[in-house]
Amino acid sequence: MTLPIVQDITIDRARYDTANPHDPRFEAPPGVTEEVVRTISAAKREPEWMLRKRLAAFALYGATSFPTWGPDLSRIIRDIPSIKFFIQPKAKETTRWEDLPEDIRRTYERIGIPEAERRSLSGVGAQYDSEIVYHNLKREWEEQGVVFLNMDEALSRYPDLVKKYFMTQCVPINDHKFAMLHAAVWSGGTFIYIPPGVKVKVPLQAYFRMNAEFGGQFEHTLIIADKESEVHYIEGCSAPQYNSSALHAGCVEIFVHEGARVRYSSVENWSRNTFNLNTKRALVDKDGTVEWVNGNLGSGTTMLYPCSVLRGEGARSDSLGIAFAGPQQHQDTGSKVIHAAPNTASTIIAKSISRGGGVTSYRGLVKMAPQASGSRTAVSCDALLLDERSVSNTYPDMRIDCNRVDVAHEASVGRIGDEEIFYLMSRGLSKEQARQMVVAGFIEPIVKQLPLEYSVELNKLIELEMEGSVG
Amino acid sequence: MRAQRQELATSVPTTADAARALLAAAGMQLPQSIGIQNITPNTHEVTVTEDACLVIAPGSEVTVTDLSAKFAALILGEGSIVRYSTITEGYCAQRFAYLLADARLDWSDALLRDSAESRNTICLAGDGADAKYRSALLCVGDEHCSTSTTMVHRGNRTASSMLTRAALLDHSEAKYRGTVRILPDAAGCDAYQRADTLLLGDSARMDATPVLEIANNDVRCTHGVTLGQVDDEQLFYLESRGIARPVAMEMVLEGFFDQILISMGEHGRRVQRLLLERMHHAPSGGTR
Repeated sequence: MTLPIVQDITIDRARYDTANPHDPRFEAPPGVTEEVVRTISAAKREPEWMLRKRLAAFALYGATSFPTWGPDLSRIIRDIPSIKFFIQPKAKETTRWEDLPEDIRRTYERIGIPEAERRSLSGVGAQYDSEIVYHNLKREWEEQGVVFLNMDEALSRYPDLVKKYFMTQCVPINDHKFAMLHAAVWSGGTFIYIPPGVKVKVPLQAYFRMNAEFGGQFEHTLIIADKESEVHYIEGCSAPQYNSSALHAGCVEIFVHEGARVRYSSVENWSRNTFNLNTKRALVDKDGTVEWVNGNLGSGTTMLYPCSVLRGEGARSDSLGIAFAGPQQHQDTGSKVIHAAPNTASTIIAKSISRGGGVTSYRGLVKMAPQASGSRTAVSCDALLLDERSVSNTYPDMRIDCNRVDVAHEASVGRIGDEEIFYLMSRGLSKEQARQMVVAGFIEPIVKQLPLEYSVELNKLIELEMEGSVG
Repeated sequence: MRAQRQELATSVPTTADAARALLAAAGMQLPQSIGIQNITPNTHEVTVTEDACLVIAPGSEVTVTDLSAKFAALILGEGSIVRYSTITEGYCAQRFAYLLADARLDWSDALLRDSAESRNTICLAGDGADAKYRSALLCVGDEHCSTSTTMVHRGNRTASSMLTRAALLDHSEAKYRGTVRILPDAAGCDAYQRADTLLLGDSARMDATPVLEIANNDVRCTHGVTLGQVDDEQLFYLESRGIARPVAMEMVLEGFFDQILISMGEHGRRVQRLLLERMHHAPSGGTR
């Protein structure tokens, strides 16, 4: 195995960090006001109930204070009045790649979206600032009744389904400050419905891109997997680098009905000026399975705790996560599982790497409700610190209200062992190569669960990030 | 952080004011009502019955037994070795240990009776200091206990281990919080934390939060937490040898606590007697 030696000590983010000229069709004035909320709703010609929901959420948002725990949010709190909460790109949504405006197409081509679609995907959506600009679902899945739409269109075409599932029981609009904000100003995102018994073999994918300066993206992803169905959905995210703050407060709601299986993979690679304050949650019914694969590499500050509520007997949640914090980054992530039914099972594997003064925190929760008898969980967190300036925190919370359960948690924090390096160097590798190899081995269990293009990307990102940074 | 560390005293304080200043710099305000007790190298046993601050002379070897103090602070001089035994029965105790270079602390704590709460901070200030903290916790009936221990590594090559075993019967509830904090300037540290809980009552509850805050990469730090029930196979094995289930359960529990108590010597035996007595007082008779 030959590992490339790259001299650059910072990550090559050029293909993500470059902004296109900002030329929207329409944008709301900066800041969030009732007027802005009404404007968004009107621009989308939404039904009355959605506007009422937005306004109710906005009222709650105004009445709730910002969280005081976790990473420092003072910069984004200061900048919220400057954030543009709604930016409509010039393009109309299309299913033909060629119809996209040149600059938007170029962005996605740089990131590799059309390439991935041709190779291995059942369907793809691409969101540019606040709205989806491209959407395609392969015919064979469409014929089987699979719905893969942008959220705005789903609202007009399947109002009953959306009304039943959208921010009702999974992530209610009063969940927390940023969920309230999201409910008030959400735009775009993905809606997926898999009919009973349909097993979608190849992944569906969406890519979210924030282009505007002082931008905000609030996409809403709603996945409903009906009984005995199966789907794998992948999300990728990026934004160009600006000096001003950007805010991403998305929301993912997943309904896993009886016996269904949903795998949700995401690689979030926002630019360093982005505050990524995201909410992701799955409700899992009897014998259903949800699998989370999360990679958090970008953004300056991340607060993201994907949560599974196992509410049916025999439900299962598996979660794999990797967080990477470089200079000035604070990744505050973790998994939550609420066992609310008998014989449910969960596993959490979280890995983190900190370097150059970066901070990674694992903040997790396992709750066993009184009715969770026969349930079991295993949590494992490993952290790697690449230099003496970096920080790793672990805050796993375990609330066990049921005695017939099995709970295990383990964590370790350390650096790369001198012996490992010595062993590899004695086999002829340079110190740099040896370190890369150890790190690659450390993240391997997660990387191999990602679709190919993402695992290659993740490996490459980490290799680049590591170069010359350790020693 | 570097500046802050330089302000900390590096040798054992000789005056009461110096001891107060040393504790204050480490975040502990010693109440004025508490005097400073100097423990000379000739003293080998100390029993604490009221709130106290002990300053242990460098190089001495002392056993400190504390059965009723609600507040205690210990300053361990360079190279001193202290065995510290505490029992917290039905009240809230706040304890603080400050270790200078190469000091060794071996602390065993037991929590019993309703509202027992143990809030401990151990500061490994001097290079090469070493602290072990072991605790046994038993709750029966509607009791509620909580334990929170923070291990702060300030000195280089400091080592710590925290081991907690808890058994919760009936409707009892317990909270566990264990924090290992490695400060940026503390290199070459080794920290271990482990908490095992047996949930024996049908509606017993446990909140467990083992926290790691690591700001130095030259470190080896691990923790583990388990919660569960008594292994049915162990009970079956004993029952198949003609031992009645309640007795078998008691034996398994004894074994569970033994791993902690065995190293506590005489104090361990006392704690064991207390634990068994409490177990027999459980509304359920201790076993189901």
